[in-house]
Amino acid sequence: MNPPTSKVITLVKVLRIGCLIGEIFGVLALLALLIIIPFSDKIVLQKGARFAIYTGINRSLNLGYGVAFTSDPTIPGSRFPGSVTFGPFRLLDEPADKPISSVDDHGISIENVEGMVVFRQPDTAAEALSFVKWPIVSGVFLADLTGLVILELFRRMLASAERGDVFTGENIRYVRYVGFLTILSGFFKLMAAGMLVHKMAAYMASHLPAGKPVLETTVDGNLSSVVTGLMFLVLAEVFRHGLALKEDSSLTI
Amino acid sequence: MPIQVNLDRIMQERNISLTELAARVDLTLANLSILKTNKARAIRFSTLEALCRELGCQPGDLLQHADERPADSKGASA
Repeated sequence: MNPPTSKVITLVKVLRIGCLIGEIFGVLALLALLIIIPFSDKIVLQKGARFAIYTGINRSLNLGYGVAFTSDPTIPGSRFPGSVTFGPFRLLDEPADKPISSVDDHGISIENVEGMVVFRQPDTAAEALSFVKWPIVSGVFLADLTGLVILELFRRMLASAERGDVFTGENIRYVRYVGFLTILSGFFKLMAAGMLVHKMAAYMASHLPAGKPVLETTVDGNLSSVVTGLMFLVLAEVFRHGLALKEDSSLTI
Repeated sequence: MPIQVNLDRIMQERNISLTELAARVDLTLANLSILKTNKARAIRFSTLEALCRELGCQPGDLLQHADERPADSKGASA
């Protein structure tokens, strides 16, 4: 087998270091999540931070959370300390006499307005947050954890590429694991996002006055993680074939 | 594998060491050792030619077909 050129080795090394940095940040993010979230409602109650929880962003299977710690409420960007933001929600059935956003003169209107719901009262915000914090913790935790394992597997594969020995039984196993984990993380995300949307909707339903406006939020399951995972499983087969060819070639004298 | 390489025997007959033969046929010691211990999957014509040249023999002297099947399965698979 031809030894990899120095340019390829440099690229592989950069990617491997990138994986390592990603892993370090991933671990830090997980630790931050595990440390902050259990106390999040107390922090909100004391106006120490502003939390935002997102799901189904751009109709995709995403969930995320943001925390902005504040010491001085007058600093721009740290508005509404002690608030919690949920969303995005779509506003349906706009009142006909008072449309949210339309320019009647020109016959133009903006429909399907999406926006975040903000709870600004620390009491309500803390209650809302405690209602949804465990779905987000479990979802983000599982998705991050599988992401971390995938990064570690990539790092090991890149290390073997650096040694100039890509087609090994170990790498075949790693590629296969990456495939299964990608599919699994998609299911984790879907489960967590579904649970989160359900919890958010339940909280909103019990705290908004009945009638208009009607708010709607959805999580669309998509198959991208399954497709990506299957691609990795196919790649594992390609690797298996490559290993057989490599063995044949190295045992041809 | 049913095909066996008789390198060991021919080297003994010619009284030539593995290191010397490796140098003369331009193979690494590791590769020649793979050939000698019957671990090789295939042999290149160029390698076969160099071995025959240096050992003064025919390809048939180097390779031998040894039937490894048990006696009772011979008839069954025919």
